[in-house]
Amino acid sequence: MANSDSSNNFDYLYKKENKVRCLQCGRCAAGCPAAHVFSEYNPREVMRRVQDGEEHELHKDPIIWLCGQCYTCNSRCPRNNNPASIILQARERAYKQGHAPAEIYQQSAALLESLFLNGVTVSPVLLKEKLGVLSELVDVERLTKLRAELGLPEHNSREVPIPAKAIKQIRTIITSTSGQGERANDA
Amino acid sequence: MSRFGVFLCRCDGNISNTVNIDRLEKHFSQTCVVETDQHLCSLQGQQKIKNSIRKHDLQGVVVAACSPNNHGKTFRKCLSDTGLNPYLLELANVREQCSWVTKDQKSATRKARDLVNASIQRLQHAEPLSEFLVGVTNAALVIGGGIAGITAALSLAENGIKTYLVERQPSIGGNTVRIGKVFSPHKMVEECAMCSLSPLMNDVYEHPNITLLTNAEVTSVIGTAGRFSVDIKIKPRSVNERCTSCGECATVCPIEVADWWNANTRNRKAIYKPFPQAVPDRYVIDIENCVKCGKCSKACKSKAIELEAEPSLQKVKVGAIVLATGHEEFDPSLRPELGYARLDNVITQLELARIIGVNGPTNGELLRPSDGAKPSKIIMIQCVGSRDEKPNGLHYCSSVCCMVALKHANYISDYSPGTQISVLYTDIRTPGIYENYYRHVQDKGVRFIRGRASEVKQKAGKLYVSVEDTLRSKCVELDADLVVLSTGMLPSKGTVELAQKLGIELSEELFVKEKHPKLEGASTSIKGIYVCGTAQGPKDITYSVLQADAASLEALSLIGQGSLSIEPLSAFVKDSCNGCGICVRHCRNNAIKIVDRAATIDPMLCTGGGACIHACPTGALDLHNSTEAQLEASIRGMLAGKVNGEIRNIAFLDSKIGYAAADNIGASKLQYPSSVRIISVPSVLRLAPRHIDLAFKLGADGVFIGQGFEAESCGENFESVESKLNNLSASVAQLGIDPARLKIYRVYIPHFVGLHKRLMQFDKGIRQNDEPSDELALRSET
Repeated sequence: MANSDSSNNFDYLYKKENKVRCLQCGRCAAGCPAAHVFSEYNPREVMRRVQDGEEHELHKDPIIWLCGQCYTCNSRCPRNNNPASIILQARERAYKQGHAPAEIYQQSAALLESLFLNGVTVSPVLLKEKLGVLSELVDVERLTKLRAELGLPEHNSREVPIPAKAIKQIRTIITSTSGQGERANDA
Repeated sequence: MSRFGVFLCRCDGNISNTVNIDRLEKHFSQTCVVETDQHLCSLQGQQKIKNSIRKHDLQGVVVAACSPNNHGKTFRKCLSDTGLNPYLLELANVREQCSWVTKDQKSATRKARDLVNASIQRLQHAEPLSEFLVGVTNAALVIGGGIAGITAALSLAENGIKTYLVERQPSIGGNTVRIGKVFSPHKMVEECAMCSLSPLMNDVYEHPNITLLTNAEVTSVIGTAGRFSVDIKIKPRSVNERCTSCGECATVCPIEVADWWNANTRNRKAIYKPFPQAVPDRYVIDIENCVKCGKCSKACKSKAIELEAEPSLQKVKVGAIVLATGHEEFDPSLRPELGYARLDNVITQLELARIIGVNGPTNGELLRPSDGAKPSKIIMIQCVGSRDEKPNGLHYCSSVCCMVALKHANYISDYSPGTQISVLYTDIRTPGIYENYYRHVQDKGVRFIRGRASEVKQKAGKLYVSVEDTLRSKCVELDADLVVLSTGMLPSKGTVELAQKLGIELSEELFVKEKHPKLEGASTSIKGIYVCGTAQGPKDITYSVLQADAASLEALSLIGQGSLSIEPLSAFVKDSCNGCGICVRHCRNNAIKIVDRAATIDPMLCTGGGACIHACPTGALDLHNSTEAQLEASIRGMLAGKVNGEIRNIAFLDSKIGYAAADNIGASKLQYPSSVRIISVPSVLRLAPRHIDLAFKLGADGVFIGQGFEAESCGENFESVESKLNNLSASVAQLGIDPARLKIYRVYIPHFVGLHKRLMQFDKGIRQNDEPSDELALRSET
């Protein structure tokens, strides 16, 4: 895993975000749903820290897990900066270096396993049983009703069986791109 | 071998940091007199050139320095000062087109060597020429009748110059009429714009030296400094001088349209008077919207209405032109999150100006659009469209919007006390004494929140603005009864259209580019054409008026010279002319006549594009300073010394726009491969298939032709230039040349970035395409 910590790539992405060009105008924060809910999270401040050269410390700060990745910050920024993508890079680094919260590792392992075994990442069953998400969204009956209301076909696309050949290909991809395939395989 | 001097400029490192001048010095010392200098353009540098000409009795001079557009004249004068004909000079552009666009020292030095070499080869065919004097027309044209144009026209007229003032709208006055109030940083009060403007407009109308043409636009401009011929199309006003401005006609007119003079906050009729103080003081029919029902004619007691009036064309001759074509407002509906056009109570500062203007939709009362209620909370949002890099955004600061917001905030605080005003800003920009205004408005209790508003929502009839108070790191939703957007300033469509007709350079932002940002702030890239006001860049009335005076002074000093020396760059006729007259048909400038069975060319009418030269079946025509021999020498020189495996691409660029755009690539330090070698031609119409063929025969891998988009290439319009270029590329294809190796591109000068991209793409394409060039090698042997 350590060898896949692409810090060069990371630098490149920061550069692409034109970090030093941020106006600190706060348009990102004013439009950010997460910033309205969590007083400790502010995408403008994330940009400020990047401007100050602290981008490599960002992954250790738990606030990066508060972003909803809606990219409103990016769509509002007059300088076309992208705080959400910086957050994403920081999360990737945090994950790889072991700074992510425990449930992130659990969830990602469950998602990968599900992908390896069934060819899908998120399914109602997975949400309910493995991730412990007890939202009303997982209520299959309610979902079926909702689909009908929205005029969607009755069939839940998530239940369509993935062809065996495709699953085999997915497994090959997982095994050859990350060490984690083997772990999932063991499971 | 002739005695030639080669002068190499280091340009204080601008050239010598990339180009190895010592190597070049050594190389050319074998054949020429060579001297180097830190600054050839300095007095000392010039003296060095003059001394050397005298000492070595030089017969011709090559200066390798910056673009000929910078110091061409300086160096020519060095020659004439020593008695050498100034046209025995060649300039090798080793700065803008070599050292500034090439990083690698080796390739830069090699390219510089080739550029100097080509100049030496060309110099062998140089002919001594003499300039001639032409009279300057004692008249000026001012385009645009806003505050800048009005000021310029009055300054010129006061100095005895016959001045034509052309305005597209039916009245002069421009945006100053619409803004209603102007700020006065000395008195901290808002003054009535019309009180200053109206007397000036009347002066224009009454001035014996001014011909005012409203409802009119310039359709074409030909000629050069001192002798422009201008066509002006005048839309019918359809109301004659008998009009008494009684207004009966408008009362009966059934057609209503949005009123531009009121920033579309109210409607007007199809027959209308723009505003009470309009000049000319007469009604006008907006013929685009009039249905010719005739009701106005019946109502008019003075019989002033002429429904069947036709547009007319006026031709004028002027010595100088002042552009004052103004700006437009950024369309805030391009930022839908701010609610403009969706929410009634989101308006622009200009609309607010109309609302608080006494002749506006509410007769000056501060009432909001949705229900006519008095707003008690107003939020102003700054930087709408300005300092914005999103699609259609303006990357620059529009420079006046802070003062506009302060002006309106101050006015409202005075006349509607108790109104809460908050200004949401990115940075407040109040340079110089304008800062006094900021302080004054703060004293009045206006709130300033540092943060750019993200969105405007409406809930239960109230507006909510999301903004972060960035100084407190607090995201808030502020409620308001009225939201005012401070929209940015962009160049008017008319400015861009005219610039293209005239061939003048625009800035990256599409404002008219001044010749020098500090020293020649009212001149354009074309001699005799000057600029002022917001056509040149965002600015307020104070600076528009100052620049208008500067522009008129420039125009005056040109016209005041009485005569100008003209470069003798016209076509000429050789002895082999048999008087067949074919060339006469090819000259759109009517410069060629057949006299005594031979063509004669009027050098005053000839614009020196060179289109006639290939028309002549006996080869009897040629062009001064771009003769066949000179052009061929340039091509040979640029391709000389090409080694095995090296790629060289020739770019023929027209000397006015294409070449200047290439210089701008250099000035912006954009890089391109040293394989690209640029040859300046007076116009691409100068090129015949044989020139392209010659380039390929001498080993060029590709040929790029860039023609500037301009009015004047031998008087041809753009379509006909285009079709001639298509013929050229068809003829080249017939010669068996791979069409992929020839690229023709239109150059728009503001988009030197575009030219750069095309050159890069072309060079890359040629490299990818380049099979081991057996075929080309064969061709060059034959």
